[in-house]
Amino acid sequence: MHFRSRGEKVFNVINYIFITAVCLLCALPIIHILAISFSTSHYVSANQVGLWPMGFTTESYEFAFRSGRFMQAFMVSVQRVVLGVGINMILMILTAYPLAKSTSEFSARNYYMAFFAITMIFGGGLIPFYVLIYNLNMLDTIWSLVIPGGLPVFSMLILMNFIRGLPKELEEAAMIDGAGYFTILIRILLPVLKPALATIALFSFVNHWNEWLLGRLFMNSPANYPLQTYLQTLLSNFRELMRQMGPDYMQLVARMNERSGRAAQLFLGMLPILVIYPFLQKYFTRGLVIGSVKG
Amino acid sequence: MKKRIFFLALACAMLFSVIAACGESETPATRDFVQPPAGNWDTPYDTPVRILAVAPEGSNWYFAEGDSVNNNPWTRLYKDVLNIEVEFEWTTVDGYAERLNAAIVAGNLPDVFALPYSDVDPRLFGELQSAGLLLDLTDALAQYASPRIRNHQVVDPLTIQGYTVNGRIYGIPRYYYGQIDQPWHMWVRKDWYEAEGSPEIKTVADLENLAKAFMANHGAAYGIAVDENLQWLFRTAPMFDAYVGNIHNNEYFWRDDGTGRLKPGIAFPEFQTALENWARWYADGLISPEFMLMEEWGRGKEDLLSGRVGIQCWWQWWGWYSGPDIVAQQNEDAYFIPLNLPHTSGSRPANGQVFYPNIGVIVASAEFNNPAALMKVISLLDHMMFSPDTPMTMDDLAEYIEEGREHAMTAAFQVIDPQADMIQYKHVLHALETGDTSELFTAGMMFKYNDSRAWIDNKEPHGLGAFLQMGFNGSAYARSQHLFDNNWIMRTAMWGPPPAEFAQAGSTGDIIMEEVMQIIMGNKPASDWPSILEQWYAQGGQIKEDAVNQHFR
Amino acid sequence: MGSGVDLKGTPASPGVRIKKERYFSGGGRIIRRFGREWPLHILIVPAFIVTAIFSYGPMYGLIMAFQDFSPVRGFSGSPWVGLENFRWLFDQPQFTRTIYNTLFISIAKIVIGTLAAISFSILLNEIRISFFKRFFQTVVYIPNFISWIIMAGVLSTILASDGLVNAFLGIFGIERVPFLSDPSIFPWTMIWTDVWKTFGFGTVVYLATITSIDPEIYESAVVDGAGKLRQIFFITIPMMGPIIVLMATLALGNVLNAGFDQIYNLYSPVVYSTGDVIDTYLFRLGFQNARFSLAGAVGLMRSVVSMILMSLSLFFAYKVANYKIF
Repeated sequence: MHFRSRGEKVFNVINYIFITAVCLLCALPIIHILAISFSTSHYVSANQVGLWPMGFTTESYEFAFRSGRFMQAFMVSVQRVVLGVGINMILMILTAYPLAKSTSEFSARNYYMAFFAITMIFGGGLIPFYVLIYNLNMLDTIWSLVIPGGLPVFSMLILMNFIRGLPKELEEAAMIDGAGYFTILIRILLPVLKPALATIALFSFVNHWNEWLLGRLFMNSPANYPLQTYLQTLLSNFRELMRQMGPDYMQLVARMNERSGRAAQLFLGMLPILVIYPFLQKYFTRGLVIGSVKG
Repeated sequence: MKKRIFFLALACAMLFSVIAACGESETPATRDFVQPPAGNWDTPYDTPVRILAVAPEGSNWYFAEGDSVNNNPWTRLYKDVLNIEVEFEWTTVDGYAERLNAAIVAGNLPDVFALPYSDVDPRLFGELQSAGLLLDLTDALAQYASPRIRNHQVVDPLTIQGYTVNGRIYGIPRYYYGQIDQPWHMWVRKDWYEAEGSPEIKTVADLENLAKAFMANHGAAYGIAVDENLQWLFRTAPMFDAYVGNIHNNEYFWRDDGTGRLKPGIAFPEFQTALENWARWYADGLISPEFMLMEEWGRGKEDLLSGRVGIQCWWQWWGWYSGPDIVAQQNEDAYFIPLNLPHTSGSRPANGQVFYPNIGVIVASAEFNNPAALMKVISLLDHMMFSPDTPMTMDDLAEYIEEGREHAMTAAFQVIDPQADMIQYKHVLHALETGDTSELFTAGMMFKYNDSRAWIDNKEPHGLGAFLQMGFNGSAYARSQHLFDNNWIMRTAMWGPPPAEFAQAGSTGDIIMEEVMQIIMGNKPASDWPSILEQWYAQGGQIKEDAVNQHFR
Repeated sequence: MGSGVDLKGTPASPGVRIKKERYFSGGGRIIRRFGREWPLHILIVPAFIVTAIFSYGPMYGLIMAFQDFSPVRGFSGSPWVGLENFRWLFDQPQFTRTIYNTLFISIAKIVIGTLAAISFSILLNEIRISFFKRFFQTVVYIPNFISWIIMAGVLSTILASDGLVNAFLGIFGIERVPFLSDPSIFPWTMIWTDVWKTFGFGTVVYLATITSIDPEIYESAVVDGAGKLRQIFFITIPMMGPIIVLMATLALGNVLNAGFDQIYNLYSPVVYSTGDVIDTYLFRLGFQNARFSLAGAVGLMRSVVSMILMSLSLFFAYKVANYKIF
């Protein structure tokens, strides 16, 4: 950092080249799909679309926006994400902290751990799940989508390991000052856990945003479908839908086909994630500031 | 700061819970018995009756502004004409079987629901019936259904037998548009075909030569389209007197082997002949080396549209499948036209293959008390769609059929006239030839007539579907009619859903698919077929054959 | 409820406690500890309730594996068949092949995917300009969002014999590679495309871990004259150890799940011999006749194998590296 050897400089150059190459490899298919979504079906089915739209059209996007149901589904998804991520974060934070304690500090910790870990491995399947949701009168409500997966164990474990990795002094200092567990958690730990919280918040957001199966299983009315379920429906029966468009059908197929439709669907579904990602990301790269605690 | 965010989130959560709570206002299903009115099927109820149904389609329907699955021209029609309120508890495009099964386990059966043949386990009907969960519809059918609905049993007495237990009827079969829509044809690209002088395709060699000419003179990358499920290829088998369908769907095409025993199409020696020919096609480059990656709605179709191939064996509704697309993407004459499948003999076309034509069954929950209402809805729907007595005007057509509103009722209530398409074909063709439209009495006829006209007069590509299906003398139905007129038809002996025993047989289809592909690609000789067949029998084929012989002989 | 400030659990009466401990030493300890630890229990209660209801509530569904289940008869009415479902499955000649394929594909995915994510996050961490760091990180994470249905469409075009990749390889005189239709190549196509699609996820986690390493450790290493490489191998990787083991262990829980969506959308009967996995096989079995119990049996088998593997990896992580990750 203070000085750089020649070797390091060479390494840096190679590193940049390598990472750029990998990123290109990751980005090209996306750009390709984006190009398809804006291309006329003629070029799409002839496989002529590369990285740039051929016969530019926004038909595939307009298709999704038809009938105003897109916004309806979008709002359901927003509602779901706000509730779902909120519930996830609260439960994960509250659970990860006690579980990060050793057994000498929290004797029942291993039992709880096993209790949660088992749910990662064993599950009863969709039918009993449906029966439960039905019996709880939760069918066709947003709660059926956000409460059952309230504690994502995978992310909670990641958070727990982050908490464990924190220097013990952090907590001990607060303990001596007479702070309670809850106070420590909220006042001391949360600020230094930002990178981890941003990470699991992102995962939780993405999971809720992309999940579509439960929406289909639990929602009676298509008006209650989250966006991804709606988009899935939209294209799962594409040809049927196209046929229903009657005389408009012709104009439509000339400009879009199933592939461009799906590509557009992908980007519409991804957009909010792309918007929120840089926002969360500012926390990812911000390191741990220990000094403030020690000072 | 953190606290603020926390409480903000909490506040949002509470706000949403209030909103969600307000949205919940569900009226329970009333299942009380209501005395049906005396009179014909179309006499309205005195007091309103409610039917709670579910449907395997509908969540992607378009409706006019303000309309919905539960409030549209069709539901209003039921209410106005019959005083019956039809409500769909849920509808879903895919995952219907999954959700229906879950609802069954939860004990939440709707009043009326369909068991579609394509995606619900065929055993489900029997299980529901023997568990006493289905309503006996025999009397309601006899008393309250229209004569047209009751007549279907006379036209096709076999199908309803599948839903009759000890003489009582527990399900109304939905049938399908009729046997005329079953045979597949050779679809060839019109502009290329005409450029080659529209040669008659009477033998397999004629077909191969046409394919080669398309490749040599018109830039086709390969000759004959084959898809990943081998369906497009298997349906060319009648050329060699072999018969087989979609193996993934258990369509083995069972028939008598001459000794009184029913055998699958793959067990006849002709199938090996077909294999030899297909392997030759592959070796000659007539089949794409990447046929196993050709999805029916993906690359396979895209190759047709982009001019990489000009011959495909397919259904009669090719005009809807690819017609407008190819015209839009290539040129006005680039669409495909149907030819009868040639036959090795060269003296006549190959036989048309006919499978069991029924898309499912309509059943009612044993707790449902108004089967008469169900019969009335079924009858009204049939009346509107198929009856010659329906005073259907062009305005009605727009009202009920267009923009997909026709589907607002099909799912749980539509019984299709098993002769619908044969009648429709004759009337539409007659109207097109004479210009006399007075005999177009169903919405479907008007629809097909208008569409055909749209293509003939104005080259409007959306009309290609109807035009190629029935709108001219060389149409798909004309070709099929030719086969039926001469009795060049082969019907499967398995005239019903697959027997329950099939479930015990494992994935026998895998062997066929895997080995057939190996043979086509030349990795194995076709002469290996008898030993592969033995393997098939050993791994569950025997179970299937025994079951078919037990139930269908 | 108290504010939780009093954590030390001041014992009300030490004498009583000692007496109790003498008679019911275990119970006494528990009670005493509870007095100190109850705020921790309270914190867990909400998640405990949600998990008990929604994860454990439906778990009776597991019994389906030992039944001849049908929705009409339900869980209480379906007949018990013992291990018959398992026996039937293992009698199917194709089934053993799918187990091998599944293990091969998923283990290769885990190993290669983990290595890729670790090395990429380390390399990425060496990027000093934070804009690029964020940008690159975003880009590699994006493929995660593409569903396999769409991705399969793109891949089958790109990897076709006249597709982009083969055209590119052709520049170097490499013969056309049948990525999707050659049984010996197909599994590797699945493995590498999956690694490519998912390594960004691991990168996000690992990079967050690296970021949280105390910079002072590096600084003192620099003072001691440690070069970049030494820093990476003696500080970064060991500090990432627990998270790596955690992620790998969690991945092991999925070892009998080789990626249904991916393979189903890309395979064909031609590559069944190396590419058919348990889930795709089951899917075909259930295509016509819903085989609830078989799916249940496979699910249970998967769970048990996962549990064994995860327990083993936890055990060894603890014994060998003294990591306690659960």
